[in-house]
Amino acid sequence: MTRVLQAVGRATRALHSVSAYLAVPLMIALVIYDVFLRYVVGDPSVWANEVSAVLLILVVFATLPHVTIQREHLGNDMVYLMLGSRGKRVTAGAGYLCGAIFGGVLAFRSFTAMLDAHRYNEGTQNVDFPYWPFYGVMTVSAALVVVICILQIAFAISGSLIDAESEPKDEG
Amino acid sequence: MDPFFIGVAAIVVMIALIIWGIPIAFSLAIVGIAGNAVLLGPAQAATQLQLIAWETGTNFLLIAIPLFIFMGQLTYHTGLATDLYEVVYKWLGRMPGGVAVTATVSSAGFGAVTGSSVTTIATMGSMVMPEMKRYGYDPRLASGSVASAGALAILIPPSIPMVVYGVWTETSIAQLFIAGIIPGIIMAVLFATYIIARCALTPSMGPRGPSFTWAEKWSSLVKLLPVILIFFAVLGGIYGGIVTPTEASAVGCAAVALVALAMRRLTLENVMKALDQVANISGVLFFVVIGGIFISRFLVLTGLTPGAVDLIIGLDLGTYGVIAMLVLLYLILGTFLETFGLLVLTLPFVMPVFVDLGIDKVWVGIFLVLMIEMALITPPVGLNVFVMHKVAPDIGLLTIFRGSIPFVLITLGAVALFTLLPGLVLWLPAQMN
Repeated sequence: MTRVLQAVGRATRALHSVSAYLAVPLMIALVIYDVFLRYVVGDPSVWANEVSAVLLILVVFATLPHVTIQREHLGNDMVYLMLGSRGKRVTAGAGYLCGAIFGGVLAFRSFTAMLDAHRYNEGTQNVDFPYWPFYGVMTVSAALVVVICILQIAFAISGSLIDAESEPKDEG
Repeated sequence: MDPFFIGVAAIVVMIALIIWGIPIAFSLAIVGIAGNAVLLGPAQAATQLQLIAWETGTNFLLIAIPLFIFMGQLTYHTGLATDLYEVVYKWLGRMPGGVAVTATVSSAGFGAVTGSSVTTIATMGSMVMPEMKRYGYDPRLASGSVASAGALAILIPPSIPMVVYGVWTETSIAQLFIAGIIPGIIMAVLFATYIIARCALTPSMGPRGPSFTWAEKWSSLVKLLPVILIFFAVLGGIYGGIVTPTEASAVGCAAVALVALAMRRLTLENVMKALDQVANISGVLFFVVIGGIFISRFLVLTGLTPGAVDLIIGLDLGTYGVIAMLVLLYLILGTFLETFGLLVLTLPFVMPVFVDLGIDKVWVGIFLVLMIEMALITPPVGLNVFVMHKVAPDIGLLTIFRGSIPFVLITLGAVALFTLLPGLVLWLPAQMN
């Protein structure tokens, strides 16, 4: 279990780093590059906006496992706070069950979309920028969410929840 | 099974899950998956979810969300808010309730470069609360004014909820941003006027601050330049039709980085912290939006959305009656939903009603932001109040909620004003290029 946790923690952090330290700066740079070309050079790029829009997938999906393991998803804890230790575990378990189903459905369909995108060479219109790696990121992220949620359910049943990446913590 | 019944059951289950404490994104997704699976089959449900996730995650307009968050985070980490506060304090600190007035005006100004109420309260609260304690401010007035003023950040552009609303309803985000300026200023003036009047009547609630010489006041204005520069780089470009809001968000990021660099406040550590937060907040927000779009398309399929809209219109309440009813609805929903939950769950029902009544979509956007502002400071789920409590843990939640009541009433008054005089909202966007 510990090895699985450590591996999940490493993958989660790596994906989050791609989102935060690679995709966001690249997106900013591309949008500014396009504005610069349009107003300073007078020759706007035909591809920068397309590529930056696809990069948004990285920003959003590569960080999904991170926010899931960190329990940062928006929610209403009004009732949760009034529950006892067992009630909290049941609530957390139910939440992660929903998360596992959501992640599973998304992972499965993104995987088939990735295969289709690769087979039919789908990509941006104005530059040869393939979509399949981005469907791949969606697949991996959603699959990681499933793993995290299943682990969390197991920990909820056993009385503890993973609070930080790779570190199980007593929740009661 | 009757699709309408499935739609009603889905709404009931979804609200129950959210109240129970299941994350909003998961609640929306699971109900959407189950509902679509019953109506269209499991394969189609999976395809719908994946398509919406891809469409939302590759929407060029939505790039503005992480970029405006980055701009706000960078502004926060580079300490530009402290400069703004010091300038306003020198000019307004001497008034009755001077520190609270300073907090209100500074929050409005800071909102012009952040767009996040949480960041505004965390920043302003940590600066003004020790000062207010030093002067013996009434804890209710002190905490309530800061929590409420923080909400102005989402009305004064740039505003993340406005980007979500604009994309969802296909309303010009540029016009929404510009439309938020006059209501934002009016709200800040109303909040400040209330504080001054309250402290003039009962001086012990908020004593005057120290006085500064005119030379000190004028020389302090130099510190305002960075904020003004960033504000005009973003909104000037949008207002002049030079850049789109998405492009303005990138220009804003560059402007903040350049200003911070010129002031020698741009460090790698600050940038990394800001980027880290951007990824986190974006991840959280986008999945609520994806879930919201997923569920709203499902509800249209069930016929529940058109049914609910027909019901509201059939009540024949007239424009003012419908607006009053919706204000009441938002006050109730705001007790257990936060900003984006409130927005994505109500838009599918509320928007068609406004369209049927012939109300301008830009006006509706501002109205909804005002409703969200109230939800942020009303119990028991008032996000701003919780942030305020974190900043000042010695002040109880109940005290902060009670301190926010006058500001909720002022917001209601402002909604009435903007309803009777919609030109206050719509005049400025009408002048745009």
